[in-house]
Amino acid sequence: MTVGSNSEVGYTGDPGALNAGAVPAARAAAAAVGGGAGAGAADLQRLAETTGRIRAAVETVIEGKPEVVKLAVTVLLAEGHLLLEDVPGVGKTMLAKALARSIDCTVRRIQFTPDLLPSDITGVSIFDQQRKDFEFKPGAIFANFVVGDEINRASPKTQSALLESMEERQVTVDGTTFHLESPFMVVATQNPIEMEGTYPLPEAQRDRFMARISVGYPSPAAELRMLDTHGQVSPLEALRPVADAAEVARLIETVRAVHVSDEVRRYAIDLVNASRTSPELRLGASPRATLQLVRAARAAAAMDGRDFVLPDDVQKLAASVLAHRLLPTAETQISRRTTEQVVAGLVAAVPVPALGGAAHLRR
Amino acid sequence: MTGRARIGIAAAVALLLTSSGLLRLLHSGSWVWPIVLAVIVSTAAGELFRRLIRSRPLAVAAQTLAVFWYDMVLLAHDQAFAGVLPTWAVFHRLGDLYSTGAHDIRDTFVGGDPTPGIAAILVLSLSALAVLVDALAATYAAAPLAGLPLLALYLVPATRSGGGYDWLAFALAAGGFTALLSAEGRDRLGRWGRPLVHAGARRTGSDGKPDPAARAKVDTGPIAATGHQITTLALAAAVLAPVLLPTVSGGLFGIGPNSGDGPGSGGGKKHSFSLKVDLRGNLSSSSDDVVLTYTAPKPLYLRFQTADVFSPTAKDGAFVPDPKARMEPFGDDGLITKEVPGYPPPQPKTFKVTINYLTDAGTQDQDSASSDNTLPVPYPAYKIPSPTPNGFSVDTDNLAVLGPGQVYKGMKYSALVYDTSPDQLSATALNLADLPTQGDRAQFHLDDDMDTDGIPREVSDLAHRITQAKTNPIDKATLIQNYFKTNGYSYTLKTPPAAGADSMKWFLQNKKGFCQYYAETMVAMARSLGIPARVALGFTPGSSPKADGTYVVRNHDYHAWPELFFHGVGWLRFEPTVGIDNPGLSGGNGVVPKYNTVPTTVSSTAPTSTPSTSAAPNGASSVDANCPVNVRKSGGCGDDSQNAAAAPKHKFSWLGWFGAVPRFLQYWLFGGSGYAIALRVITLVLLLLACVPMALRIARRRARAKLASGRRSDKPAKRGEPDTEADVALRWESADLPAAGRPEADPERLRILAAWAEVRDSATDLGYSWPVSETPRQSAARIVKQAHLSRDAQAAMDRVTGLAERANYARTLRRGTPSGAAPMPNLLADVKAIRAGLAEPVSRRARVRATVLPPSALAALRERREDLTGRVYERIQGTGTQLRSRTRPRK
Repeated sequence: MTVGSNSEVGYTGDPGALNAGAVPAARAAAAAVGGGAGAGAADLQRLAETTGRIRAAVETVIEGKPEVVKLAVTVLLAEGHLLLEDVPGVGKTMLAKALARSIDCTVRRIQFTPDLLPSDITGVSIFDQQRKDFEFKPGAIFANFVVGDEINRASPKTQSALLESMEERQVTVDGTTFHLESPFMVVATQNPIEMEGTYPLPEAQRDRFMARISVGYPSPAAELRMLDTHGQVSPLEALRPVADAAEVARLIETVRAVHVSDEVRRYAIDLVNASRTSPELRLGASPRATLQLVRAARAAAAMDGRDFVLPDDVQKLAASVLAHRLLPTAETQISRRTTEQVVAGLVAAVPVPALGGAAHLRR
Repeated sequence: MTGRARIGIAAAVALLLTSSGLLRLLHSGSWVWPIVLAVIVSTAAGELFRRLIRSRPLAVAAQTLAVFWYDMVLLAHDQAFAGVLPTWAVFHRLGDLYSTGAHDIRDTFVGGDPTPGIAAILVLSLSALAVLVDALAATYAAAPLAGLPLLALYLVPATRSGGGYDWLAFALAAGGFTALLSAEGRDRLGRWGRPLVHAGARRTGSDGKPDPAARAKVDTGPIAATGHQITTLALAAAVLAPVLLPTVSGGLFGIGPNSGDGPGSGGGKKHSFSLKVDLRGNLSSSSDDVVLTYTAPKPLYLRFQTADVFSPTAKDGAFVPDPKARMEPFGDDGLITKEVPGYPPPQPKTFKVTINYLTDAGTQDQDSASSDNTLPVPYPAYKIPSPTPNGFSVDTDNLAVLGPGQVYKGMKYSALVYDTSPDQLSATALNLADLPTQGDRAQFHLDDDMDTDGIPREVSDLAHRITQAKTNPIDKATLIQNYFKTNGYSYTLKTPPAAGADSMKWFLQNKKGFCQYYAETMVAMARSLGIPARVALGFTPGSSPKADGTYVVRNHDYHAWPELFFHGVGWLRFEPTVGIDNPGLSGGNGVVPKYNTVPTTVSSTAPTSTPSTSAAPNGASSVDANCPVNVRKSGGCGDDSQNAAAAPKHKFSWLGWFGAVPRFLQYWLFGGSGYAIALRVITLVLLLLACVPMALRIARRRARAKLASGRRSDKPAKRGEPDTEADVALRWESADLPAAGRPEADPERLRILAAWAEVRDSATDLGYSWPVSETPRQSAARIVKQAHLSRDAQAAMDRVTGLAERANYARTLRRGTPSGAAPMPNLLADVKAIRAGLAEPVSRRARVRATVLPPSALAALRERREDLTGRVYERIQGTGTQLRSRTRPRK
């Protein structure tokens, strides 16, 4: 495990300033086809192959939920964090673990409990008698994959320890800042039903997750298959990694090069703006939501084999990316409309921008 | 229909119902339709401008303009430029019409057919009322206030018609007003009442889309029902109360015992045509009843009598009939004369005229002691064959027929008449015409007609001054005849009761008067030049001939005109009265004669003063009688050389052969009555407006096809390589996103976008929905499914959609696969295939609609209109703010 990686990873930073190793190859590939700026065809093909392998591996564990798996991979490539929210027993933890296992990288799992301390997550400095100095013992957060189970069971203080690390990909202990590795992804699960003795995530923290996914119950056929496989041996044990951290970092680099036209940017902004003005919502989506929506759309486009984002990508991801950040009004709650439905309504109402041009090309 | 439109229509209906009371005062006739059309024009214009213009005063102003245009075309199109564009003359004409009409109303509002003046006033005032009512009720949403003009209109017939009033008229007016109030109440309730529906449920339907049906649906049933009940009760009470209550005698509606039978018959008083030359009474006291009809091959002046004796001190007119007339009984078979007095041999041809006298009014001179009647006949009549009217003799000097015989309603007689109309006279004879010789004076008893005693100096001076350019007396007479027209004289019945020579002075000073003034003054002027002259009394030819050559002469056609004698020609009729040939102006149906004194064989060395004689040698005047009515009215016959509108025959001659087009427009579009012109122009404008969306759609399709084919490159120099004509395939590499430029700047992208826009518009035109919130891919997929596109069309759709996605959203048009560029599609062929595929499952009606009224073009127009009105409004607002900030004192 390396702590305090060599360079800082920024969201809007130069694509070149990424993790060492993977970068030159990716850039070379991009330059070969795309004329220097775009995502190259070879990169896209490699991305399709790798993500296909990862998805296939995860789907051996999570039966019959390809779209959930795809979304999880999308979030991984978009450098986001994932919030799995569903009733117990549908495979939330299993999904998180499977995703982590399919990639050959460091994985930590934290079981959140009310007595969990922030230092358990971030790490602690201990005085070394021999060296007469404080030595930093990294916490559970120092990994490529952090699976936070039942995140709403921890105290707010502990939850907030996650904040800095998730957003800024760095940890500050005793005034020293440690950078986290790339890729870095927090997959948290929470249970919306058993609310006793829990601390529901505050909005600020929910906002840090790129997407919220409900796994949902499997279909009867999938459940039957599950009974067959899970009866003998845990498929999780059988899962072998199909990609490594460097590979994923390279894929992330490819995703970053996907072209987002002005029109699609405008569309994302329009959608988010609509959530802010919608009378059905008490709180709309944040600018961070816009950023993450576009980033997720990039990843989705790349997984679709395209080097540019379509409004379709934005539409498909809008509910997953936006819904958990919105606060419905009392009326909306009374009429039993979920925020997902509200977002679907916004998508159906906001016009899709297209290129302008001469008058006779417009409507 | 919106609430406003409903109010507008209700207001129009209320106005028309209220105005139906006018039918009690006037016979219904063709004058009704122009009024109905005026109300329709006003309502339609109001609705249109309310939609177009947000500012209410501006909308009302535009509506007023539209209605004024209609009135102008209807009443004064011959004064308008090209028949449809207003000029200053139009305002003069409308003012004249109004004053004539007002005069008619003041003196003669009893019944019968309206005079042109009254009809004009009706059209003008009802147009104004229509605008007012519509503006109040619909534009300013104050329907109750609109009741005031309606009440005013209701009161006109109610107060003018003597005994009692019609319960039906009241019920109609009240019903119309109630309908208006009801429409307004409905609109008001629609704005006020809102059912409490939960926001979420109301806003969107089950599919998450806005649900229009849930909006603005207000249950006003119970309130409206109560309102209707109250209104019905009030109406019934208003109608029935006066009848049922014994104390209210007669009642409002004259159902009671004292109710008169109303006017309309014109009363029992028998009036007569004054044969002294004071026409004012006859011209003004007349309702517009028919005096007589006659059947003849050409329009004729029918004459009672002539006034030969000048009496400058007379009470009523300057000329009176010769008291010592030489009377002779009819010759064999009703012969009047074998020779036209003074006419050069051979004697002219004759034709037959059948006259049907149709009024109770007698023709005797009420003031004179004798009980002679006069029989209206044209001059010069050859004979009145059997049955020759009993008790009449012939005045040999002027060929008038008078005597103690009876002229009665229903009297029918025929006459053979010499045809001495201008076209029958040879130019040579006219050229040789001269002042009368001594022989003439003795033979034709011209002494009375040459008497100049007491003619004012101003008159004779003027006569000499304006005729000094000519030597031929006929030319001199023509100059006098035309002098009034070219010197700003106008027609009016409003004159002071001046008599004798004073009336001439007044006339020359004020430059206005009616026919008597013109005729007497011209006679006096002619006499001062030595030309024998007399005033003829009778009728102008009357209104336009029916198909069988029947002319209808009405009371207002009563007329006076001068007759002048020339040696070698005889008596000739002249027509100096301004506007007598314009029914709109004086109500006259006169014909201005033109005497051509330049023989065709003689080339004129000196320029003649009258353009008509040089421009239209011979035959010009014959057109007068023979040319079609609509042409004559539009001035197409050149019947008056001095009239501005009279020379259109040559107006477009500078255009050469192409002049046929404006001539055609002038005759067939702008010819005929004002009503017909207005109808035609409105229809034409509506047709043109209806063509706008189609034209726009076609233009867009063309532009897009041109763009998509790649022949037009917007920025050929940008890539540094010229765009060859043949190179219509997409050049992929040129479509890469320029480093620092908008993708719109790229011509290759524009080609694809043009094709895509065409696909989109074709689909929406054919009735497929295309929501703005759908991505290209979604729309394409849905429409492919809806239209059951063939495999080929589907492939074309996929290609175009894929390209459109790339053009809109990608950095490069090339495919991101290692295989490189996709096959180059033929965009135009693809679009064509898609359109054919889309049209296949659609009904024929929808296809026709897609061509004629394409929804995409309508939407584009609406968008453009919103842009435009928004911009105009902002401009106005901006100006207002600027002005305010400038006028406000600075602190």
